[in-house]
Amino acid sequence: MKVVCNTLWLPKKGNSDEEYEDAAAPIESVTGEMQSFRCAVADGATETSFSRLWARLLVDGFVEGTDRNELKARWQDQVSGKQLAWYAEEKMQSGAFAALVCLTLKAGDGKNGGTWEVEALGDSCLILIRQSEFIEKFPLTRSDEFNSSPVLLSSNANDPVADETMLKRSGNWQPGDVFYLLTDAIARWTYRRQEEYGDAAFYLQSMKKQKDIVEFAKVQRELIDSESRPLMRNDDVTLMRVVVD
Amino acid sequence: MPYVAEISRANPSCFLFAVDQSGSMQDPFGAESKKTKAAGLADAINRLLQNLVIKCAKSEGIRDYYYVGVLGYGGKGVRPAFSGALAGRELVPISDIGNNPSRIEQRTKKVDDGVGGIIEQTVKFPIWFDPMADGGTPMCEALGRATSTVVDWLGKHPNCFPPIVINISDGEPTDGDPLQTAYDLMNLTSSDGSVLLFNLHISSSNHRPIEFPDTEAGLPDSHAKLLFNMSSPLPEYMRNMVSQEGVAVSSNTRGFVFNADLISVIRFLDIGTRPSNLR
Repeated sequence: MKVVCNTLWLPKKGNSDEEYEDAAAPIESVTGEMQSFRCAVADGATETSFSRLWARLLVDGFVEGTDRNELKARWQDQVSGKQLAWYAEEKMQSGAFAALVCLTLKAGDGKNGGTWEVEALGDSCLILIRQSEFIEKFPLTRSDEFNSSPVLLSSNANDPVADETMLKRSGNWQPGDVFYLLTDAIARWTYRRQEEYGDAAFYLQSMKKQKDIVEFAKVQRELIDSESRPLMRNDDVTLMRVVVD
Repeated sequence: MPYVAEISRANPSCFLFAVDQSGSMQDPFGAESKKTKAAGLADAINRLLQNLVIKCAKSEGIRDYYYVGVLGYGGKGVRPAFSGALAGRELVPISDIGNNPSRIEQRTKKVDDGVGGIIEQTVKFPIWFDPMADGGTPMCEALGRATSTVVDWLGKHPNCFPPIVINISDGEPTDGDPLQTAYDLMNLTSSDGSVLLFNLHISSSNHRPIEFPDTEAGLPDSHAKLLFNMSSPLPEYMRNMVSQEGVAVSSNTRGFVFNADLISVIRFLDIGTRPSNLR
């Protein structure tokens, strides 16, 4: 199978690139023939600290196939031993949290596609688009399911939300299918646009380069809905596009 | 729709505490006869400040989502009430609060040991505010001063998430009826909604704690009823959060608690994603 994967991202308006707390793997563009392909997008929670590190460990760990308990140990190793102020120490003890969505593509026997498998927890989402039609939305399916308090993956070794909590789905891909892995702000915008106008695929497909998503975010963060909220919440934005043939 | 403004470093909001330091705060606090109301009040405000700092903390430091002031009112009139390095300052960025407690005490708290027992754990407890109890209760003057501070803030931050003012008192003002002053304060607005005035009633009564009532009917005394009536109705999204914690709510649910803590107010503040499984 041939895979083309590109990722566009930008931080919350008002924040620096260093404060961007989403993560994607691969972050660089990938094009090539392969038998299998793994990719992931994560969104570190604003209200927890060292969540950028946790999001990075989660996506890299998925692509490498590293056990998540090992990732928790790595997070602990990297944050412990630091000289921290009282508030940073207390916050660190609460752990870091992140939403995660992961995709695995496998080539089939013939030329008519293969299989896809997604696992996710939280409000980062996968969308499968086939000829401009929304075939799959996962794990959330409607714009009103997004809120500011999702259940997320914790870096704490004893967190009750364990790997078994990850939601999974699988199916068969067809040549030309396009998968999008999106963090919550742009995922919610996409769902809502699709619900109201049915043309969200056009917007996703039109974002090819970094300048496209910068311009898109600038406009959608400033437009206001009937409840005085921006059409797209001011948050970090990550859009990963995976085209498979 | 009000109360949707983003709280950010570019568009910060304001938290102002008015705290009763009158002589009556020397009386016992609730069922804990060894503790004075003044000590209960100091614990309450130090815990609120601690939680607010932690909410705004990131690995690299504290983000100034809030500016915070503490006005004390008692025998020495109305004045800024921080202890230590912040003494005399009125509105302080939350990073300055976090980096300048007057001291950090070690306290013990009982926690679940995970195997069915309870153990005592030592925790750090930063102190910005010390107990004080002296003279009368100039609550009207204090709310008037709070109003001036908030008017000044709103002039500089007209589009902010509305300031939250928390009055902590035993509800026995000695300079008149504070209702009109409270209404004047609650009627101030940013473009995002009206100022929120919440009251935390510290009492010697052994009556059970009460959180976010929607009627004065079940309140134990006239002081509680006074503070209830000068408390803002909770905005809808806050009512929903209170409801999720098992409190029955209606459109008249007020930002008032009796001999309870107001830590839940910190959870009302939306500065970004908060995991629902974060303890």
